Amino acid sequence: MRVLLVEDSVRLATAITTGFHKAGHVIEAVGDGATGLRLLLNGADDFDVAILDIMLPEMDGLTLLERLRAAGKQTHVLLLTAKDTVDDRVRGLRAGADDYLIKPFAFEELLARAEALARRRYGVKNPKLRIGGGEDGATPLLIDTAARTVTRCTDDLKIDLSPREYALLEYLAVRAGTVVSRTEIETNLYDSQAEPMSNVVDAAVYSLRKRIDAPGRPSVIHTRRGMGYVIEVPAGAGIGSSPAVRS
Amino acid sequence: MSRESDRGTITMSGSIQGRVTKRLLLGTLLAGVAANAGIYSILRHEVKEQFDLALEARARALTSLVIAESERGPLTFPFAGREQPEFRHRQRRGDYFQIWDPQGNTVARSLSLGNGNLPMEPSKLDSIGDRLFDAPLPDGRPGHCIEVRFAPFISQPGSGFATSEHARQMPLSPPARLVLAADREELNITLGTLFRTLAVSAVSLAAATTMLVVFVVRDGLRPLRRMAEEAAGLDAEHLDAHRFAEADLPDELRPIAQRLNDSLSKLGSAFARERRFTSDAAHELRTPIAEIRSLSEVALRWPPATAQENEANYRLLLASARQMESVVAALLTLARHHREDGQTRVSGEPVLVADVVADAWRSHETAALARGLTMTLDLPADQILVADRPILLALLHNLFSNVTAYAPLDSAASCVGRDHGLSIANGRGSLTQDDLAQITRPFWRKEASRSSRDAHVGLGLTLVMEYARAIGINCSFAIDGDQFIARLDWTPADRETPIPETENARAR
Repeated sequence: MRVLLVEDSVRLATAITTGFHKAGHVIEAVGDGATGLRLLLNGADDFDVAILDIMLPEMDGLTLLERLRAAGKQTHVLLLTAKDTVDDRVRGLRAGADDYLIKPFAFEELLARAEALARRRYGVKNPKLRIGGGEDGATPLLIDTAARTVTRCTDDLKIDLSPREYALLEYLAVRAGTVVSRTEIETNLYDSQAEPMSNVVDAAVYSLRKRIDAPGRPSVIHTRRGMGYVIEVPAGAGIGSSPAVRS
Repeated sequence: MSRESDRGTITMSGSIQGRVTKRLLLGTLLAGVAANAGIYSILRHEVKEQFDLALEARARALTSLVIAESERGPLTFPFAGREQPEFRHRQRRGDYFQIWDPQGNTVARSLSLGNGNLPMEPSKLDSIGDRLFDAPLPDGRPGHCIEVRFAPFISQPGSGFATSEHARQMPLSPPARLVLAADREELNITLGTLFRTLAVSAVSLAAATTMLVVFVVRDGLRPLRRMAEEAAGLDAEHLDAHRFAEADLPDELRPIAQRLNDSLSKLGSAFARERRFTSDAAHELRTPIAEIRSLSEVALRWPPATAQENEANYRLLLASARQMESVVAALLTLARHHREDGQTRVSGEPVLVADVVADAWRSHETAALARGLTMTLDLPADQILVADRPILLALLHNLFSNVTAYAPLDSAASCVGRDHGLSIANGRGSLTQDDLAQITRPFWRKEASRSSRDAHVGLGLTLVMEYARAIGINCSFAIDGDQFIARLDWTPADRETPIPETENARAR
């Protein structure tokens, strides 16, 4: 998940960015509304979720949101604020916010709400995703996005993944049936410190396959040479849905 | 009598409408009854008077026909035994008369009487005059009678009548008497008709008056009733949504509506200020709490890997705690000094203004230096102010804190004393004239966010105003060109007030 945080409290921004990094997500933080709007307008498609404070310098969060929506951008937005009256919440939601969280908040709740919004981007509502188990004999896996766990269905083995590995698997799973390019993986899972033209994505996929694939079985992650990686949709899934994500 | 309203039954006795209606009805009905009674009485008297006058005229006419042949009589009545049409009426059985001479002998009687006598006896009065009385007629009908005591004229020889020029009368005493008895049935009918007419009129008038009074009172008090219903429907949560329509009100109610609207405006503003203060205070406290919570939760979930990370985390927690502490301290100070009535509470003692200013500025010198600010202190050495020193010091601290936080970098500021006051001036930065109306509002800051001035939560100048009020000095703010000026003004100190000696004074 790639997140943009617009929060002028340095200490709070530090806490949130640290937590999201530790959870395996890519998060970018800015301290004023004008910069936040510029990033969202220029690279809105790069962000799965934008977390906005309301009381911001240069441009407040509600104005930022209204301008974002006026520009036709559909980035999921979670408003983060200390203003807790019903009028404030209604105003925020009517301005186009997808969710609203009042300070102080539980960090886990913020993380869970942001992840739920990110799933929504790919039309996934069910937090439990099943992949593999198709006719090719790929290892069937159950991914619990709420608990952030992966279980091999053949032997009920919980697979221990690093936050980055889990994030990669979840990212490919929610986009099952779609070829995901290396660039997209880099953008959404690696911050700007990743060097361009590196093989960090290939290495990560390789490492992930070793963890999740059962011995002797084809990998659930397929390589499309020159294009990227894909997790196949099992046969029998409906057209227009995300069949791999139904548990 | 009562009517229902949204708030239950309203008894008319407790309402202006009820009281006015009852009193008006009672008054007008009593007046109507009295008027009708008076009219009946007057008309009855007039009708009877006319009847009596007619009776008297007929009696006089009869007495004028009685002639005495000499001073000692006898009396003659020329129409005795003859038909007298005026004593017969087609629709009634006629009237009666009888005439007696001074000796009491009957001289004449009406044919209707026949050979009988009037059942009533004439009076024994010997003076000339009339007497009216009621008595039943010989045929039993109700009668009204007149007795005329008169002295007949003595007839002239050969004429049988006395001429006015030479008329002589019999001695006045004892007089001759005539009693004329008339049927008063028609009079009674007339009086009865009059009474019934007036009674019906009174009842009709009473009914019409009742309806009119009720309608007029209800209609007249409609504006008041409407205002009362509007007032009853006021919602304390949405005072701004309602105002009484002044234009449609009568002159007596318009001033009331104006005052009510003014009060609603003030009340609405006060509520809005309170809501805003509570919301802003909550906002200022929630952010550092959110920081502390998030930092702690992240550190617990993913413990810092190194000592440096751990230390950095604790420093952030400490900064948030201090931020919250400064907000709480400012709020408590505000609560302690705030008084809605604006009255001065704190008594003071004479203080040297220059000393207090120097003490207050000393703690800000480092911050000013870091921002390249230069402060010029120019105050008379002997300027005295009677005030509570700690509060004055806190007031100046807040003003200087404002200077060091918000004056433009590398700019100049000054604190200059004048007669009974001082002014603190610094570069205004981005402040405008429109901002002046809000700068003392709790939690107001030019920049609504908290980016770089965590210690300033927007209560500094609010506290300055409360401090000033507490020690009885006037504080105001102005923008003059590119300068923001804070002015403190006070009443002159007593000439006899001794100049206090302080360390600063001794050092100088």
